[in-house]
Amino acid sequence: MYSDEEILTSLSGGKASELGILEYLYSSNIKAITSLILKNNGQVTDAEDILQDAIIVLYEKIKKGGFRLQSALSTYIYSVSKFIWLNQLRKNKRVSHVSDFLFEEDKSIVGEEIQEIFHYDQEQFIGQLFEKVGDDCKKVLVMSIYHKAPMKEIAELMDYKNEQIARNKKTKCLGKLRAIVKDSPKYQSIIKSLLS
Amino acid sequence: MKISNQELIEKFLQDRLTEGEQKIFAHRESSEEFQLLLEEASVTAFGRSELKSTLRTISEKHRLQEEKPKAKVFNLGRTLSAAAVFIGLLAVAWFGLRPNSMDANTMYAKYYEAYPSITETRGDNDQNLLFNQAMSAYNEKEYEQAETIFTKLEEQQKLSSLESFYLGQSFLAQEKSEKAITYLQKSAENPAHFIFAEANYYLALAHLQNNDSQAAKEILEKIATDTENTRNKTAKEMLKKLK
Repeated sequence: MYSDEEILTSLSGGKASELGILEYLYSSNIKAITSLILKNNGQVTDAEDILQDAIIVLYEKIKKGGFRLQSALSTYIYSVSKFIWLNQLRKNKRVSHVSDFLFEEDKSIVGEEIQEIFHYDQEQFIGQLFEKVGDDCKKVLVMSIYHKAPMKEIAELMDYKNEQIARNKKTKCLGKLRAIVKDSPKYQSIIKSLLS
Repeated sequence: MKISNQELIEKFLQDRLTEGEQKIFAHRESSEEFQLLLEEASVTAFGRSELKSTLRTISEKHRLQEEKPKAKVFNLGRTLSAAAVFIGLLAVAWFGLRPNSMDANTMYAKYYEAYPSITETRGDNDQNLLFNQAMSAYNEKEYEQAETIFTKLEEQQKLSSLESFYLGQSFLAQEKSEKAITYLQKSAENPAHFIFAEANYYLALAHLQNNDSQAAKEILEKIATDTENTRNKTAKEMLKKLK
């Protein structure tokens, strides 16, 4: 059991076990989200997918900083899940057979409007891109840019002697990524299509 | 056409740029600001897909846990395949990298991978025949059968380090932790044997499977201080994460 405060502190960069926090967030919300999705034209697998995305929304909002919880964390996750699911139904034109409740907006709970649904269709492209960057660069860049980890922590995890080495590594890795993006076949095909 | 850099990059990463947007992209991509945004967006997309993988794994694990009490017969195959998915998905996930963030079972699931079989076959005599049959079962991932044949072999002769190692592996794959520990311990006694490094590493994993972090730590610490050990780097990495 974790309190909402413990969860927020841990995800914002505290030292508590984040994997454990994510597991807790998932297991303590999956029943409610499954019930919501099953009542509204969805399957169990949809519920799993939606809850995963809602946790990602929460995680990224916390990492951006300034996240303020207006209600219980479970209420927030529920509202975000509702929002994501309704958008997916709209996108796939499956809005019939859903309860009116799904259309009720929870802006006061969700706060800042969620811009869009995540797209994972680029996963393969991005994955291939990062394969070329190499394992260490991949870790350093993701830790630093996505998880906003401090350089000290990155140095510790990567076995670098100090923060400066981690900082230098990040700069080198960004350069490598830039070169790879430019050299990527997909990138090239976009450029070629412009010339044809 | 008014389109923000952010939107343009998102669309590029999703391969959804229209012809007009491709021209705008090509025009803007030389600017430093655009390059920085593109790099950041690429890393964010990759980080997000890693987080999504971790959460998918959590879903899978949760589903299996929910199903477990209802199942009358233990489905080893499914459990092992779920473990394999778990290992693969967590391979690069950040959450596995945080210091002291993993309990024994989570760490076991992240690091365990069935040891590959050897291709060696031995010549004709009864013991060798049993060894070949056991290895053949092991190759086919028929761990219960491999266990039976190795046990039969043990009734006829004292097992070698290598035979003990594969019997230990067969127990480990079936989550018979205590037996796995017994046999992996035997195979980890001879530092001169080529299997020594792997035997110690898998012995640590067997302790993790048995939910005994302390015993696993003691072995991992030995591996971590042995610079010649091929599992040295992995052991250091594991020690940083193990609760």
